[in-house]
Amino acid sequence: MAVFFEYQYRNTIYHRLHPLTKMVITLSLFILAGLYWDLRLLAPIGLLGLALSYISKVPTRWFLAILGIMIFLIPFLVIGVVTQVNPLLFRVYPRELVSQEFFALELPIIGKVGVTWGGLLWGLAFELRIPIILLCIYPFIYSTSFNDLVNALSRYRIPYQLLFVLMVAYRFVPITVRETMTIITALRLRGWDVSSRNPRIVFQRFLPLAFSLIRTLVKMIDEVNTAARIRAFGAGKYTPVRQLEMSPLDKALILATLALFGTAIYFLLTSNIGMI
Amino acid sequence: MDERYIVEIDNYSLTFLGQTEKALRNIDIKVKEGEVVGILGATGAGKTSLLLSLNGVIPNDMPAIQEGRITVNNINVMEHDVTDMARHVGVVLDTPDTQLLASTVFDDIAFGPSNLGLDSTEILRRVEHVLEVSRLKGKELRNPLQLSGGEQQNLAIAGVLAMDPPVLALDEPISMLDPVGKETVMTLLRSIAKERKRTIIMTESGSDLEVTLTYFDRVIVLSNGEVVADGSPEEIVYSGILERVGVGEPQVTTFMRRLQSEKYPVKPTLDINIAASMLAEIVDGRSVEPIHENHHIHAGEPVLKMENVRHVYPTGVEALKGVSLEIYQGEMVGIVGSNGSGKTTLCMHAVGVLKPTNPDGRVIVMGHDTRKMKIKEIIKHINYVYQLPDNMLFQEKVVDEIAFAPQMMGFGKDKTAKIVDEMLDLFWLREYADSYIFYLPRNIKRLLSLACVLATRPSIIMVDEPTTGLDRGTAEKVMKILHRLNREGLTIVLISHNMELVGSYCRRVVVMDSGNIIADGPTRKIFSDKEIMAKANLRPPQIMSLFKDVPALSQLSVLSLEEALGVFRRLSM
Repeated sequence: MAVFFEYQYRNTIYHRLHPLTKMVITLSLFILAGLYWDLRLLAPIGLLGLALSYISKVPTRWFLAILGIMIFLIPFLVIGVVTQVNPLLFRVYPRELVSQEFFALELPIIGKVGVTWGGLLWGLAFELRIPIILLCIYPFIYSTSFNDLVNALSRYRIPYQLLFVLMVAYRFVPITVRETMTIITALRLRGWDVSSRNPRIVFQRFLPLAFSLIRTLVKMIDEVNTAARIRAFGAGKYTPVRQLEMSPLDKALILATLALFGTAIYFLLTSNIGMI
Repeated sequence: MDERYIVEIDNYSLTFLGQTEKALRNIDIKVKEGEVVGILGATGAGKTSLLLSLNGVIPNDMPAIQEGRITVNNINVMEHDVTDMARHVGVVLDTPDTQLLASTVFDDIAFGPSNLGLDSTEILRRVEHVLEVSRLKGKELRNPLQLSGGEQQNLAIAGVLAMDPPVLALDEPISMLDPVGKETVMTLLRSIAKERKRTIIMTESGSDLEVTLTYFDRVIVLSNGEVVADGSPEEIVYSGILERVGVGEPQVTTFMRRLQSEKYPVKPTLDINIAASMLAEIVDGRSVEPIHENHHIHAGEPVLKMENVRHVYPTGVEALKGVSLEIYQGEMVGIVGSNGSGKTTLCMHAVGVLKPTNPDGRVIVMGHDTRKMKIKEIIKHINYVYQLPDNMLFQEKVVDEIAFAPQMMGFGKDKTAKIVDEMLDLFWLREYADSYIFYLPRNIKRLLSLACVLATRPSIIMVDEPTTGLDRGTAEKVMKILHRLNREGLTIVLISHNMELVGSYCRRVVVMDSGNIIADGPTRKIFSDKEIMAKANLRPPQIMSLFKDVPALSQLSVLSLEEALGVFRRLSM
């Protein structure tokens, strides 16, 4: 089965970086992408994520998931755009720009809806934010093995409970994807087909998948817990099998990332740069 | 002689929370250091519960009320957590994929030793050694979840071996391995026990008796949560208890027992050499009739045809390297081969779940090219039964599960009800009709998985390891049903590592190795070909090996017990 959202050994420069370096880069980009609303700043973060994905050779099909998420978000985007008509919601962009209307309607109960420049800019940021966050996370997941992560974190006396949560989190997406694929395949071999014009039937047909998946995932957490303890996870001192050393490149990247991140946060807090 | 007991179970009883009946009753077992102990019993006898009590998974992770006492390495298990016990008992679960936690094969083996805080040089030494003995060398950087079921089972064992605990408790550890893999693991476990004084306790429900029994020093038989026999493998086998509790016997033992019942001067034995010398005396000076093979000539078009099918997974692994195969109406064909040879990938192409990655690869089912067909259309002709029933059961109750496919395929209420009724009878599931599937034992789930697939009314079914992890009673039940359906015209493809099973039921066998079909032909001919068998990590059925060891019978390639008995019934004076 294909790998999705999980580590794969590759000999790329990003794979060779120290896990902490990758963690600092990823967290910085993740936080900024989560805070920014300004497309002019979100776009470079996205491009950086894309570049890191390229460098670490993230499989092309992972990007299809981003496309899927963007399609899934479209209804929320539409609702957001048409209801974001009040220019007072924007603190940074010029009011005269954000209040420019393409059309507007006055609806009972809901009030004013329409499409404005402000609404469109907000909507685009909303639509792109999750894909950008994923683009920043992909290179980290694809290039960092769980053992190396534990190895890096165990030096900082991270409690076992936190490492366990990390382990479950690390396995959650790939196992969910695998289990979903297994269940869907098995269902299709039994004639399962969700296509119907009747939404009630579609919903009913999704139930076996949903129930199986929930059961499997609950069981998975239990099993990971048992399996980890059978293998003495959390028994005491963890000895890494590989000695992870910070190279000059690692140090330089961490310093540069922290400097840029600090600057970005400073300007965000003091001058609202990144907000709309 | 060292008489130290490393595992002591005193009057141990166990009741799972929410249950009224005890899962284990008054168990008294003492196991010596360096012993290799087999815990045998039919499905649901309590083997796994006993095993998981040894390291505290029960009751820490599976709440239960315990009575009595268990000590391992002088530690009272009931007062310790699973993590504490990990140093003393290494457990291998029967579902290997759930036990693999790291991102690469190498890291997974190193995971346990790293958690134990061993020196990194020692960890590396152990990992390298275990990679070698587990046949995982060369796969160090693979993602464990991308390995085949057998490879995952090997890795789960490797991960625990690298921790080197004084006691190894293994739940059906070789059920998914190919025949050579089974022997390799058993030899390795025995050598660890004898050379390093490690204690091995492993469960076995009957599907691998031919391999496992001779490696045990001692066998403990469980039935309904109680110890019903405890002794050497020979004592246990001669007593006939294994048959009585539904575990079954090795093929050679059954054969000798049946000869004995037909008044031949033999005794049941486990040892193939002793059996061979007894047979040699019987056949001495008598002429042996050759076995007449009924050569079946295929008529008409194949019902399943694969032409130059190649499949490369997105990870770059080439699972099929241009495979061509034809299966004909009414055949029962065995597909055999080593772990990771591409058997399951081949089946996935037949049912349309996977498509050839080469443009000229074709899969034709009942005359239909499946490249443009939806799975819903393909399964009207051919379907697949998973190796692990849990992978294909979604509903709450048995009746709903059987009815699911006919409903989805639009069979209508009356026809669906008729099919459900028929399947409940055919698979002896009537008494479980309204049972919750989640709580059913594995053997019933296996029968249910077959019922669910046959409810789609296919002309061909592909069954992946139909008897793995089943006791002999259920395994025979499953095979009887399949054999009957085959006689009635259903084409069956069996994917199995059990050569006794393939030899007994399949007239034709397809051998796979590294994504290629390396042999395809009559089972008798292929099982007699030492070169092919060795290349694909296979071993002939035990009965065939027995006959090869008797000079007067060595020219006969018997495939099954019935054939072997037939040879003796036709002996001339």
